[in-house]
Amino acid sequence: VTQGGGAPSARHHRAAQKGRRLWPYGFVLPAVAVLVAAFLYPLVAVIRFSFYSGSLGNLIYVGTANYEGLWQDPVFIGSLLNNLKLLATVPIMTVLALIIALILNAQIRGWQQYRAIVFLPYILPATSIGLTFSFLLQENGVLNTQLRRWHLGALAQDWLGSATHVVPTIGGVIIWQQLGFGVVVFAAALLAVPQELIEAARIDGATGWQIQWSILLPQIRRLIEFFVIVEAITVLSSIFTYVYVLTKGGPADASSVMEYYIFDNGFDNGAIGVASAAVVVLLLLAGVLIVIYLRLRARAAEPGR
Amino acid sequence: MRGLSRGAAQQILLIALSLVSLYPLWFIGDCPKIGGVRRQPLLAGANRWWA
Repeated sequence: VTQGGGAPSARHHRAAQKGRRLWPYGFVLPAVAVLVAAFLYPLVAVIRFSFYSGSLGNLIYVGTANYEGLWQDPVFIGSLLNNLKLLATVPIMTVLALIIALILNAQIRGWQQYRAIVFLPYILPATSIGLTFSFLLQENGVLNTQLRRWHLGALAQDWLGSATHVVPTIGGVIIWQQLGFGVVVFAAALLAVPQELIEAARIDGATGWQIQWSILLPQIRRLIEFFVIVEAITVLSSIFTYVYVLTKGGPADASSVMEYYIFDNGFDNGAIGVASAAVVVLLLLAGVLIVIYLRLRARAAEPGR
Repeated sequence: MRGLSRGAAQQILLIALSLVSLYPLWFIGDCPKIGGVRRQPLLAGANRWWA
Protein backbone atom coordinates (compact mmCIF):
# COMPACT_ATOMS: atom_id res chain seq x y z
CA VAL A 1 0.00 0.00 0.00
CA THR A 2 2.87 2.25 0.91
CA GLN A 3 4.66 1.66 -2.46
CA GLY A 4 1.45 2.08 -4.43
CA GLY A 5 0.74 5.40 -2.71
CA GLY A 6 4.40 6.67 -2.90
CA ALA A 7 4.93 6.52 -6.70
CA PRO A 8 2.20 9.02 -7.67
CA SER A 9 3.38 11.29 -4.87
CA ALA A 10 6.98 11.23 -6.21
CA ARG A 11 5.73 11.90 -9.73
CA HIS A 12 3.66 14.77 -8.40
CA HIS A 13 6.71 16.12 -6.56
CA ARG A 14 8.88 15.90 -9.71
CA ALA A 15 6.20 17.65 -11.77
CA ALA A 16 5.91 20.38 -9.15
CA GLN A 17 9.72 20.80 -9.15
CA LYS A 18 9.78 21.03 -12.96
CA GLY A 19 6.99 23.58 -12.83
CA ARG A 20 8.94 25.63 -10.31
CA ARG A 21 12.02 25.54 -12.57
CA LEU A 22 10.04 26.71 -15.58
CA TRP A 23 8.02 29.30 -13.68
CA PRO A 24 10.70 32.09 -13.80
CA TYR A 25 10.99 31.67 -17.58
CA GLY A 26 7.30 32.49 -17.81
CA PHE A 27 7.99 35.82 -16.14
CA VAL A 28 10.77 36.81 -18.54
CA LEU A 29 8.92 35.50 -21.60
CA PRO A 30 7.02 38.75 -22.37
CA ALA A 31 10.23 40.81 -22.19
CA VAL A 32 12.11 38.28 -24.34
CA ALA A 33 9.26 38.23 -26.86
CA VAL A 34 9.30 42.03 -27.11
CA LEU A 35 13.09 42.07 -27.53
CA VAL A 36 12.95 39.38 -30.23
CA ALA A 37 10.15 41.20 -32.07
CA ALA A 38 11.72 44.65 -31.75
CA PHE A 39 15.42 43.89 -32.25
CA LEU A 40 16.22 40.34 -33.33
CA TYR A 41 13.59 39.98 -36.03
CA PRO A 42 14.47 43.26 -37.86
CA LEU A 43 18.17 42.41 -37.56
CA VAL A 44 17.70 38.96 -39.10
CA ALA A 45 15.34 40.41 -41.74
CA VAL A 46 17.80 43.12 -42.79
CA ILE A 47 20.64 40.59 -43.06
CA ARG A 48 18.35 38.36 -45.16
CA PHE A 49 17.27 41.27 -47.41
CA SER A 50 20.93 42.12 -48.07
CA PHE A 51 21.19 38.91 -50.13
CA TYR A 52 18.12 39.70 -52.21
CA SER A 53 17.18 42.13 -54.93
CA GLY A 54 13.83 43.46 -56.11
CA SER A 55 10.86 44.74 -54.13
CA LEU A 56 9.39 43.34 -50.89
CA GLY A 57 6.72 41.36 -52.73
CA ASN A 58 9.13 39.99 -55.34
CA LEU A 59 12.51 39.17 -53.81
CA ILE A 60 15.16 37.57 -56.00
CA TYR A 61 18.16 35.88 -54.40
CA VAL A 62 21.40 37.49 -55.67
CA GLY A 63 23.97 36.14 -53.20
CA THR A 64 26.67 38.65 -52.30
CA ALA A 65 26.06 40.83 -55.38
CA ASN A 66 24.69 43.69 -53.24
CA TYR A 67 27.89 43.77 -51.17
CA GLU A 68 30.08 43.62 -54.28
CA GLY A 69 28.00 46.43 -55.78
CA LEU A 70 28.57 48.59 -52.69
CA TRP A 71 32.34 48.57 -53.10
CA GLN A 72 32.01 49.51 -56.76
CA ASP A 73 29.61 52.37 -56.02
CA PRO A 74 31.53 55.66 -55.69
CA VAL A 75 28.60 57.19 -53.79
CA PHE A 76 28.82 54.46 -51.12
CA ILE A 77 32.62 54.82 -50.86
CA GLY A 78 32.18 58.61 -50.64
CA SER A 79 29.53 58.20 -47.94
CA LEU A 80 31.77 55.84 -45.96
CA LEU A 81 34.71 58.27 -46.26
CA ASN A 82 32.48 61.15 -45.14
CA ASN A 83 31.53 59.16 -42.05
CA LEU A 84 35.21 58.54 -41.35
CA LYS A 85 36.02 62.24 -41.92
CA LEU A 86 33.26 63.21 -39.50
CA LEU A 87 34.85 60.91 -36.89
CA ALA A 88 37.52 63.64 -36.62
CA THR A 89 34.91 65.69 -34.76
CA VAL A 90 35.12 63.26 -31.82
CA PRO A 91 38.65 64.16 -30.59
CA ILE A 92 37.98 67.88 -31.22
CA MET A 93 34.74 67.68 -29.26
CA THR A 94 36.36 65.69 -26.44
CA VAL A 95 39.30 68.08 -26.00
CA LEU A 96 37.04 71.17 -26.12
CA ALA A 97 34.57 69.64 -23.66
CA LEU A 98 37.42 68.72 -21.30
CA ILE A 99 38.92 72.23 -21.42
CA ILE A 100 35.54 73.85 -20.74
CA ALA A 101 34.69 71.34 -17.98
CA LEU A 102 38.07 71.98 -16.29
CA ILE A 103 37.45 75.74 -16.41
CA LEU A 104 33.92 75.26 -15.01
CA ASN A 105 35.37 72.98 -12.33
CA ALA A 106 37.26 75.98 -10.92
CA GLN A 107 33.70 77.13 -10.01
CA ILE A 108 34.21 80.66 -11.25
CA ARG A 109 31.32 83.11 -10.99
CA GLY A 110 28.31 81.97 -13.00
CA TRP A 111 29.72 78.52 -13.82
CA GLN A 112 26.32 76.84 -13.47
CA GLN A 113 24.74 79.33 -15.90
CA TYR A 114 27.55 78.80 -18.41
CA ARG A 115 27.09 75.04 -18.11
CA ALA A 116 23.36 75.38 -18.79
CA ILE A 117 23.96 77.66 -21.81
CA VAL A 118 26.50 75.30 -23.35
CA PHE A 119 24.11 72.38 -22.77
CA LEU A 120 21.17 74.16 -24.41
CA PRO A 121 21.94 73.17 -28.05
CA TYR A 122 22.11 69.51 -27.01
CA ILE A 123 18.47 69.41 -25.90
CA LEU A 124 17.15 71.00 -29.09
CA PRO A 125 15.78 68.80 -31.87
CA ALA A 126 18.31 68.16 -34.62
CA THR A 127 15.68 69.19 -37.19
CA SER A 128 15.39 72.73 -35.78
CA ILE A 129 19.15 72.99 -35.57
CA GLY A 130 19.57 71.76 -39.12
CA LEU A 131 16.99 74.22 -40.45
CA THR A 132 18.49 77.11 -38.49
CA PHE A 133 22.01 76.37 -39.64
CA SER A 134 20.90 75.95 -43.24
CA PHE A 135 19.50 79.47 -42.84
CA LEU A 136 22.69 80.78 -41.25
CA LEU A 137 25.15 79.10 -43.57
CA GLN A 138 23.61 79.44 -47.03
CA GLU A 139 25.32 81.57 -49.66
CA ASN A 140 23.34 84.73 -48.74
CA GLY A 141 22.79 83.63 -45.15
CA VAL A 142 23.44 85.39 -41.88
CA LEU A 143 27.09 84.38 -41.55
CA ASN A 144 28.13 85.46 -45.04
CA THR A 145 26.06 88.68 -44.82
CA GLN A 146 27.83 89.58 -41.57
CA LEU A 147 31.26 88.73 -42.97
CA ARG A 148 30.64 90.96 -46.00
CA ARG A 149 29.41 93.77 -43.74
CA TRP A 150 32.64 93.55 -41.76
CA HIS A 151 34.61 93.72 -45.05
CA LEU A 152 35.65 90.10 -44.62
CA GLY A 153 33.96 89.02 -47.84
CA ALA A 154 36.96 86.87 -48.74
CA LEU A 155 36.07 84.58 -45.84
CA ALA A 156 32.47 84.21 -47.00
CA GLN A 157 32.11 80.76 -48.53
CA ASP A 158 29.31 78.67 -49.89
CA TRP A 159 29.43 76.58 -46.72
CA LEU A 160 26.74 74.09 -47.69
CA GLY A 161 26.95 74.33 -51.46
CA SER A 162 30.64 73.62 -51.99
CA ALA A 163 31.90 70.04 -52.11
CA THR A 164 35.07 71.10 -50.25
CA HIS A 165 33.40 72.89 -47.35
CA VAL A 166 30.23 70.92 -46.81
CA VAL A 167 31.59 68.03 -44.70
CA PRO A 168 33.65 70.25 -42.34
CA THR A 169 30.56 72.49 -42.02
CA ILE A 170 28.36 69.55 -41.01
CA GLY A 171 31.14 68.50 -38.61
CA GLY A 172 31.08 71.99 -37.08
CA VAL A 173 27.32 71.82 -36.56
CA ILE A 174 27.68 68.40 -34.90
CA ILE A 175 30.41 69.74 -32.58
CA TRP A 176 28.27 72.79 -31.78
CA GLN A 177 25.37 70.57 -30.72
CA GLN A 178 27.15 67.68 -29.00
CA LEU A 179 29.71 69.74 -27.09
CA GLY A 180 27.25 70.51 -24.28
CA PHE A 181 26.78 66.80 -23.57
CA GLY A 182 30.52 66.35 -23.06
CA VAL A 183 30.78 69.46 -20.89
CA VAL A 184 27.95 68.36 -18.60
CA VAL A 185 29.22 64.78 -18.33
CA PHE A 186 32.83 65.82 -17.64
CA ALA A 187 31.85 68.63 -15.26
CA ALA A 188 29.73 66.19 -13.23
CA ALA A 189 32.59 63.67 -13.14
CA LEU A 190 35.10 66.34 -12.07
CA LEU A 191 32.80 67.44 -9.25
CA ALA A 192 32.77 63.84 -8.00
CA VAL A 193 36.58 63.64 -7.70
CA PRO A 194 37.36 63.48 -3.95
CA GLN A 195 38.61 66.81 -2.62
CA GLU A 196 41.15 64.99 -0.38
CA LEU A 197 43.07 63.89 -3.48
CA ILE A 198 43.38 67.46 -4.72
CA GLU A 199 44.28 68.77 -1.26
CA ALA A 200 46.89 66.04 -0.81
CA ALA A 201 48.42 66.93 -4.18
CA ARG A 202 48.43 70.62 -3.25
CA ILE A 203 50.16 69.87 0.05
CA ASP A 204 52.75 67.84 -1.88
CA GLY A 205 53.44 70.98 -3.92
CA ALA A 206 51.56 70.18 -7.14
CA THR A 207 50.82 73.21 -9.33
CA GLY A 208 47.34 73.94 -10.73
CA TRP A 209 48.33 72.50 -14.10
CA GLN A 210 49.76 69.33 -12.49
CA ILE A 211 46.53 68.85 -10.52
CA GLN A 212 44.47 69.12 -13.74
CA TRP A 213 46.74 66.88 -15.80
CA SER A 214 47.90 64.28 -13.26
CA ILE A 215 45.00 64.09 -10.80
CA LEU A 216 41.72 65.21 -12.35
CA LEU A 217 42.08 63.80 -15.88
CA PRO A 218 43.22 60.29 -14.78
CA GLN A 219 40.36 60.24 -12.29
CA ILE A 220 37.78 60.68 -15.06
CA ARG A 221 39.60 58.55 -17.65
CA ARG A 222 36.86 55.91 -17.78
CA LEU A 223 34.28 58.56 -18.51
CA ILE A 224 36.42 60.09 -21.25
CA GLU A 225 36.67 56.63 -22.86
CA PHE A 226 32.90 56.22 -22.56
CA PHE A 227 32.28 59.63 -24.12
CA VAL A 228 34.67 59.00 -27.03
CA ILE A 229 33.04 55.67 -27.90
CA VAL A 230 29.47 56.96 -27.52
CA GLU A 231 30.22 60.00 -29.67
CA ALA A 232 31.99 57.88 -32.28
CA ILE A 233 28.90 55.65 -32.50
CA THR A 234 26.70 58.77 -32.69
CA VAL A 235 28.77 60.32 -35.50
CA LEU A 236 28.78 57.02 -37.36
CA SER A 237 25.12 56.16 -37.07
CA SER A 238 23.01 59.08 -35.83
CA ILE A 239 23.72 62.06 -38.06
CA PHE A 240 21.12 61.43 -40.71
CA THR A 241 18.95 64.37 -39.60
CA TYR A 242 21.75 66.93 -39.99
CA VAL A 243 22.65 65.71 -43.47
CA TYR A 244 19.04 65.41 -44.59
CA VAL A 245 17.97 68.84 -43.34
CA LEU A 246 21.18 70.71 -44.21
CA THR A 247 22.11 69.33 -47.62
CA LYS A 248 20.10 66.21 -48.58
CA GLY A 249 23.49 64.65 -49.29
CA GLY A 250 24.44 67.34 -51.81
CA PRO A 251 26.00 68.97 -53.64
CA ALA A 252 26.24 65.95 -55.97
CA ASP A 253 26.43 63.43 -53.07
CA ALA A 254 29.46 65.27 -51.64
CA SER A 255 27.96 65.25 -48.13
CA SER A 256 26.24 61.88 -48.28
CA VAL A 257 26.87 59.66 -45.26
CA MET A 258 26.08 55.96 -44.88
CA GLU A 259 22.72 56.60 -43.21
CA TYR A 260 21.70 58.94 -46.02
CA TYR A 261 22.89 56.39 -48.60
CA ILE A 262 20.71 53.75 -46.89
CA PHE A 263 17.70 56.09 -46.85
CA ASP A 264 18.22 57.16 -50.44
CA ASN A 265 18.48 53.60 -51.74
CA GLY A 266 15.90 52.00 -49.47
CA PHE A 267 13.15 54.60 -49.66
CA ASP A 268 13.79 56.82 -52.68
CA ASN A 269 15.24 54.28 -55.13
CA GLY A 270 13.43 51.22 -53.75
CA ALA A 271 16.67 49.22 -53.77
CA ILE A 272 16.00 47.36 -50.52
CA GLY A 273 18.81 44.84 -51.06
CA VAL A 274 21.49 47.50 -51.58
CA ALA A 275 20.21 49.52 -48.60
CA SER A 276 20.18 46.40 -46.41
CA ALA A 277 23.75 45.52 -47.42
CA ALA A 278 24.81 49.07 -46.46
CA VAL A 279 22.97 48.65 -43.13
CA VAL A 280 24.95 45.48 -42.44
CA VAL A 281 28.25 47.29 -43.19
CA LEU A 282 27.24 50.18 -40.91
CA LEU A 283 26.18 47.70 -38.23
CA LEU A 284 29.58 45.98 -38.43
CA LEU A 285 31.41 49.31 -38.09
CA ALA A 286 29.27 50.35 -35.12
CA GLY A 287 29.63 46.80 -33.75
CA VAL A 288 33.43 47.15 -33.68
CA LEU A 289 33.06 50.31 -31.57
CA ILE A 290 30.52 48.64 -29.29
CA VAL A 291 32.88 45.67 -28.75
CA ILE A 292 35.73 48.10 -27.90
CA TYR A 293 33.41 49.85 -25.44
CA LEU A 294 32.33 46.60 -23.79
CA ARG A 295 35.96 45.45 -23.48
CA LEU A 296 36.91 48.76 -21.88
CA ARG A 297 34.05 48.36 -19.44
CA ALA A 298 35.03 44.77 -18.66
CA ARG A 299 38.63 45.91 -18.09
CA ALA A 300 37.43 48.68 -15.80
CA ALA A 301 35.43 46.14 -13.78
CA GLU A 302 38.49 43.92 -13.21
CA PRO A 303 39.63 43.95 -9.58
CA GLY A 304 42.70 46.04 -8.85
CA ARG A 305 42.08 48.49 -11.67
CA MET B 1 52.83 94.85 -18.45
CA ARG B 2 50.66 92.28 -16.77
CA GLY B 3 48.05 90.68 -18.94
CA LEU B 4 44.58 89.59 -17.94
CA SER B 5 44.18 87.70 -14.72
CA ARG B 6 43.40 84.02 -15.08
CA GLY B 7 39.86 84.45 -13.79
CA ALA B 8 39.13 87.29 -16.24
CA ALA B 9 40.52 85.26 -19.15
CA GLN B 10 38.30 82.32 -18.15
CA GLN B 11 35.24 84.58 -17.92
CA ILE B 12 35.93 86.04 -21.39
CA LEU B 13 36.37 82.54 -22.83
CA LEU B 14 33.11 81.33 -21.28
CA ILE B 15 31.19 84.42 -22.41
CA ALA B 16 32.50 83.89 -25.96
CA LEU B 17 31.51 80.23 -25.77
CA SER B 18 28.03 81.16 -24.51
CA LEU B 19 27.60 83.57 -27.41
CA VAL B 20 28.64 80.85 -29.86
CA SER B 21 26.11 78.50 -28.23
CA LEU B 22 23.28 81.01 -28.10
CA TYR B 23 23.76 83.06 -31.28
CA PRO B 24 22.43 80.42 -33.72
CA LEU B 25 19.41 79.85 -31.46
CA TRP B 26 18.47 83.51 -31.91
CA PHE B 27 17.74 82.74 -35.55
CA ILE B 28 15.39 79.82 -34.90
CA GLY B 29 12.71 82.51 -34.62
CA ASP B 30 13.79 83.94 -37.95
CA CYS B 31 13.57 80.81 -39.97
CA PRO B 32 10.34 80.97 -42.00
CA LYS B 33 10.15 77.18 -42.19
CA ILE B 34 9.90 77.06 -38.38
CA GLY B 35 7.34 79.85 -38.48
CA GLY B 36 9.32 82.73 -37.07
CA VAL B 37 9.29 86.44 -37.75
CA ARG B 38 11.60 87.61 -40.53
CA ARG B 39 14.20 90.15 -39.62
CA GLN B 40 14.98 92.77 -42.25
CA PRO B 41 17.14 93.86 -43.94
CA LEU B 42 20.01 91.67 -42.70
CA LEU B 43 18.25 88.51 -43.77
CA ALA B 44 16.63 89.86 -46.91
CA GLY B 45 18.76 87.70 -49.18
CA ALA B 46 18.31 84.68 -46.99
CA ASN B 47 14.56 85.11 -46.87
CA ARG B 48 14.39 85.42 -50.64
CA TRP B 49 16.27 82.12 -50.81
CA TRP B 50 13.73 80.44 -48.54
CA ALA B 51 10.79 81.86 -50.42
